[in-house]
Amino acid sequence: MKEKSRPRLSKALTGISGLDEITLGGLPRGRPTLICGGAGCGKTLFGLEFLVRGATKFGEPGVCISFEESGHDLAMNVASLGFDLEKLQRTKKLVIDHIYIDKSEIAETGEYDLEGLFIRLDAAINSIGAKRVLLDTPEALFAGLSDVGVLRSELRRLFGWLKEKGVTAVITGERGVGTLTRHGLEEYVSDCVILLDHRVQNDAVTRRLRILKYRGSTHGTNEYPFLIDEHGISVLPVTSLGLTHGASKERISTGIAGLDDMLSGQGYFRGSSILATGAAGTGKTTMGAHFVDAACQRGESAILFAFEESPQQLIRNMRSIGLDLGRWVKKGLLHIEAARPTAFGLEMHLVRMHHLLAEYKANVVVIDPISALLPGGSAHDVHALVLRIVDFLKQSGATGFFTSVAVEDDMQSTALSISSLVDTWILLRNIEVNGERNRVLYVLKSRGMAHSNQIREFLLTPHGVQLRDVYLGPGGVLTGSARVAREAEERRELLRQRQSEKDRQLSVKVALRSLDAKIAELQAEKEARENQLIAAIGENEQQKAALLAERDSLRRSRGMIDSSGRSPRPNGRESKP
Amino acid sequence: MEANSISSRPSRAQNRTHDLRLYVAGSSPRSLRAVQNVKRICENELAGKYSLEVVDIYQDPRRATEDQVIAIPTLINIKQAPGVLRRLIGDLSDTSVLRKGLGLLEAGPA
Repeated sequence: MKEKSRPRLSKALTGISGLDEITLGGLPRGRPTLICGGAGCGKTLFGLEFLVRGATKFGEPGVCISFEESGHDLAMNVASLGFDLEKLQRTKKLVIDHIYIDKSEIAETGEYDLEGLFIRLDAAINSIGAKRVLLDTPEALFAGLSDVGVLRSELRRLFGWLKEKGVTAVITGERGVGTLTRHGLEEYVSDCVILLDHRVQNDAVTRRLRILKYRGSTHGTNEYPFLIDEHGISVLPVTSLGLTHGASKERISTGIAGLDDMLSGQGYFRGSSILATGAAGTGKTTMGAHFVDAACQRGESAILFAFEESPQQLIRNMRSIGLDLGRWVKKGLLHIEAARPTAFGLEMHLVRMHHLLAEYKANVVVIDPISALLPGGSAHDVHALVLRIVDFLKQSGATGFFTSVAVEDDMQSTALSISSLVDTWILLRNIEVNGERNRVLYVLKSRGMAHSNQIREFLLTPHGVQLRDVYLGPGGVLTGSARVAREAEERRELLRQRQSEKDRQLSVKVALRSLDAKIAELQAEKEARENQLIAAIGENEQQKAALLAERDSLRRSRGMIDSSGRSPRPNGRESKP
Repeated sequence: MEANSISSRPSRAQNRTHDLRLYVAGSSPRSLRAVQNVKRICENELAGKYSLEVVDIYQDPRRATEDQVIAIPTLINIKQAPGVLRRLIGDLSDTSVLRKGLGLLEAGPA
């Protein structure tokens, strides 16, 4: 049973939800993997799920060598997770061997080895052709036997033997002080080490998993929260490594006409993630409510996670701006899920979201506010949280709208941590000026669409949110009554402009008219001159005719002219006038 | 399994004070030493009052599981007498521990 030489590391899918993603395909096949962690962190369950999934999903039978609990106890413990160990044993898919050492009834005399363990393991593996092995936890041997030297060398031999046998093994180990395991199992298992722990943070427990080492393979290196529920272990990858979710071209309304206009007139992309950040009282919840309302009007299903208000309170408050969310709840289109953020650990919140999303098949999800989930959380925590939520919403095709409370001075750090995660980011701000506080919003970014670069003031009216144009004054943006004053001034200005326009038109008309008059006068003069010209020409002709007549009569008198009246004209000179 | 068991001296069950079972791994030196050691002391001090079964786990791994054997060699006292340890592990080379384990302390040489 020599290990075959492989050009590439072969992996065995664990079937544990999420783990195969972060390990890029499971645990190293044919090699041992160490799972370490403190008491109650889920090591045994991890190992058992690895065996059960292997047997049921991948056709790989498994052997469990339990050093701590009997087969019956194990079966009882995991029955609540839907694992039927007894049935698996009956159908030859699983062998459980409980190794029990009672130190009080043992005396050691002389040399020994653990050949019995090897033989039992070998017999169990061969009996069902097992491909997977769980040793939970061999460290118990140290409590039962006193010769540490023998134990160490035998454990080293055991892990070598497992490799030679070609089984994919999971070995659990209890976390020691300053070491991964109390008895240094990590010295012998060098291929893959996974660390589990659970931490109390703000009175809520979060379980986390981290891959410390995975020889010969890339892997996710972060700490991944995981949870144990009725479906077994689910690791929640901080990010799905594939980024393969589809991208819809469909646009859906924000529920606020002015905001739709700012987003090239059509609103958000379906399936995108929208973040609205702003300080207290900037209208974040209202924007979320508008979005939900618009979705329900389209007949879509929506979930609103409220971490600050009860459903009744939310419905009452939204009614004051003309949004009747209550009717959508009655129609079953809207589900408002209200809980204090401190009610559960972070992981439980995420699971509840998962389950509700599946239950209601929601198209739109609003989380108000997402920052409430991490009171005092660092920017990094918020980042990881948003990323996970964004990912699972995208995978399910739902459009997510998150609000986040941000101190305005802190905007820059929020920008750094979140900006890359959301598709559309709307900033809400309060502008304090002239003894007033007014709300403005602007679209900081919106992927894949033309969007307005304007800062817009918005009003909470009894008919919902309405956007106003923002005027720039010498001191910056004008809002509130300064804007109203400016609007009035602008109206006056317009009036003035209209008046002066009229005046100008009039004066031009007058000038035109006087020009017309001048033209008429000149015309008359011209005509007079023409008449003079004609008269002068006529006079000239008459003089000429008179001269001719005079000359004729002169010639006639000299007898130079015949009766025809024509002169014989002996030479041309004489005829010239 | 009968092939592997050695009943060194036939004795009727009601006379016996010790029913012993020794698990060994084939014919490793350590296993052979253990068999020699237990036989010697039984012959010397428990003649006619004991039975000894030697089980080779290579031949019969199932029995190792049934008897919760992991260390080899392991000597198991089937018949429990007061003050007798149930299990002895090792090649039984430490005679004083072996004697104590078999409840032979006061009978031993001072």
